[in-house]
Amino acid sequence: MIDASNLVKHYGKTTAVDDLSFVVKPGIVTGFLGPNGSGKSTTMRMMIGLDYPDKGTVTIDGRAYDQLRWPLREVGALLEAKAIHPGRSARNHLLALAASNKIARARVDEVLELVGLSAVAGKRAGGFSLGMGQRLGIAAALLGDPGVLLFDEPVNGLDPEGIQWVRELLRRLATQGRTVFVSSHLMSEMALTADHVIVIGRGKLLEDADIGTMIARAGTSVTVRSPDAATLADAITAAGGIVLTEPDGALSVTNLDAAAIGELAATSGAVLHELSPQRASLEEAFMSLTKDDVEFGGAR
Amino acid sequence: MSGQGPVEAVTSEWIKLRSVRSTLYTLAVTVFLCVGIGALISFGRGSHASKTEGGFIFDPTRVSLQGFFIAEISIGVIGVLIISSEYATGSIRATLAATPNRLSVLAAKTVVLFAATLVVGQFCSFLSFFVGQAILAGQGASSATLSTPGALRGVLLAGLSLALLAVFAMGIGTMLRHTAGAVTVYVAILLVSFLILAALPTDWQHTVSKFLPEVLTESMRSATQSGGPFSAFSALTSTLVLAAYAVAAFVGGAVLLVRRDA
Repeated sequence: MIDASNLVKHYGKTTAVDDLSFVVKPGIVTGFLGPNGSGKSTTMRMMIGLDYPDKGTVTIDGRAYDQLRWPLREVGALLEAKAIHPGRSARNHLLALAASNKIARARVDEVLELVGLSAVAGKRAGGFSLGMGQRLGIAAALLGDPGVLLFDEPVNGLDPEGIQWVRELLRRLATQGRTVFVSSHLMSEMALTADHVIVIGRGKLLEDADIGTMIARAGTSVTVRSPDAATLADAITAAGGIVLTEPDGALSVTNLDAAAIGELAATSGAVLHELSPQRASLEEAFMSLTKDDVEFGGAR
Repeated sequence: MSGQGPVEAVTSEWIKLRSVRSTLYTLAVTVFLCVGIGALISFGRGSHASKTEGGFIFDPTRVSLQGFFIAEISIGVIGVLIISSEYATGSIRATLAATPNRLSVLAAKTVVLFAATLVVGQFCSFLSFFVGQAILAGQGASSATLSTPGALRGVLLAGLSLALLAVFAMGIGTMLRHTAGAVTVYVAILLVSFLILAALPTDWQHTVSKFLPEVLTESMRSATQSGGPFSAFSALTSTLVLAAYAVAAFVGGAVLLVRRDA
C-alpha cells in the first residue's frame, strides 16, 4: 500500500504538487491520470525518495522509502525509459542493481526472460529501441520481486503487441496481490487496465474513484428530439435542467433524468421523437475533469 | 537511515565501472600517456643531461615520471564520468532508488574509483620509472634505481597522486552533474591556475604556487626537493594537501548530493 498525505512540491515559483493526498491499495491496478505537466512524475519521484517533498509525507506499507532495508525488494519503479548507460549491456545494468540489494544473480536472467530481452542481454543498451528500453526498465522494476510497483507511462514507445503485453502484465501483477500504480496521460489506456483511478490536474487531486464511479460521476446527458423543441426547452429549464441545443436541433439535457423529461413533455403537451440517456465515455469524463487544468493547452 | 548495505553498494559500483568499455579504454590511454610521454621526455632529457636542468637538480626519478602531467587529465575524466554519466543518462535515479542512502552511493563510488585508479596509477608509475631509467642509462645519463634515496617514495606517491586526483574530479562531477562543465573546471584548476599564477606578484607566487595541484603532484613524484622556479612543499606535505583537495571536493559533492532532488 502507498499512502501519500498532503504532499506539496514547488519548483521555484511553480507549484508542481499541491496538497495531494491519496491511498493506493494492493490487489488492484490504480491508474494515475493527469495532463502533461500535472505533477504525476514528480509525485512518483517523491514516492521513491528521489525528490524531497516540501510538505507532507509518502509511505510504502507504513515506512518512508529511505527506511527500507532492501528497497528494490519492496518497491519496483519504472520512471523513465532508457535511463541506462548506453555502453553497458542490459545484463550488466541489472546485475549492478541486483548486487546493490543482495538479489540473486539468477533473478537477472529470469526477468530478462520475462520481458523478452534474453536474446539481447549482452548487447550494449545504446542500440536499444525505445520499446526495448521500456522493457528493460520493466525488468529492473520486477528485479526484486517487489510487492509495490510504480510505472510511469509504461506503454510509451511500445508497439501494439508490447502495449497488450504491458496491460496483461499489470493485470497479472495486481491479481498476485501486489500494489500496482501506473501513470498515464491517456484515459483510454487506463480504461482498459485500471480498476481505480486517481486524477490530478496542476498538482491537485481532481478525482479518486473506481472506474465505474468515475464514469457515472462525469454525468450522463439526455438527448431529446421534439418538433416542439422550444416549448419543451423552456419547461426543462424551468424545472432546473440545463439545455444545450445541438446543431441538428436535438436538445442535450443535463441535470435532469430521462423520466423527469418524459413527464415534462407529457404535461407540456410536447411530442417526443427521441428520449435517450447518453453515457459519457471515460475519455470525456477525463477531459471534463481536467479541462481547466491543462498546463499547455492549444488554442480552441 | 537504515544504512542500506555499503558492501553491496560497492559491489554494484564495481560492476558498473568494469562494464563500460569507454572507462577501460580511458584507463588504457592513461597508461599509454604516462609511460609513452615519460619515455619520450626521458629520451629528450637524457640526450642533454647535465647536473642541473634550468635550475632544477637533475632528478632521474622525476624525469621518468613526467608523463603523469598528461595522465592527470585522462584520470580526471574518469573521475568526473563515474558520476556525471549517471546524470547524463538518467541512471542516477535507478542508482539512488536502489540505494536511497546517498552518502553510501558516493562513498561506494569513491572506494571503487580510488582502488581502480590507485592500481592503474601504481602500474603507470612503476612502468614509467623502469622504462625511463633504462632509456636514461642507455644514453649514459645519470639514472636511478628503486634503492636511490627518494626514488621508491616518488614512484609510490606518483601512483597515489592519480588516485587522489580522480576522487577530486569525482567531487567536482558530483557538484556540477555535467560532464563537460566538470572536466573544464578540473582542467582549469589543474592547468589554467598556472596562467593566473604568472600574473601574480612574486611574493604571492611563492605563497600560492605550492598549493597548485600540478606543483603538489610534481613534488610527490620527485626523489629530491626540486628548488626550482616554484616553491613547493615536501613530498609528504604535498600528498596531504592533495588529499585535502580530494576530501574537500568529496564533501562538497556529498552535501549537494544529499540535499538536492535527484
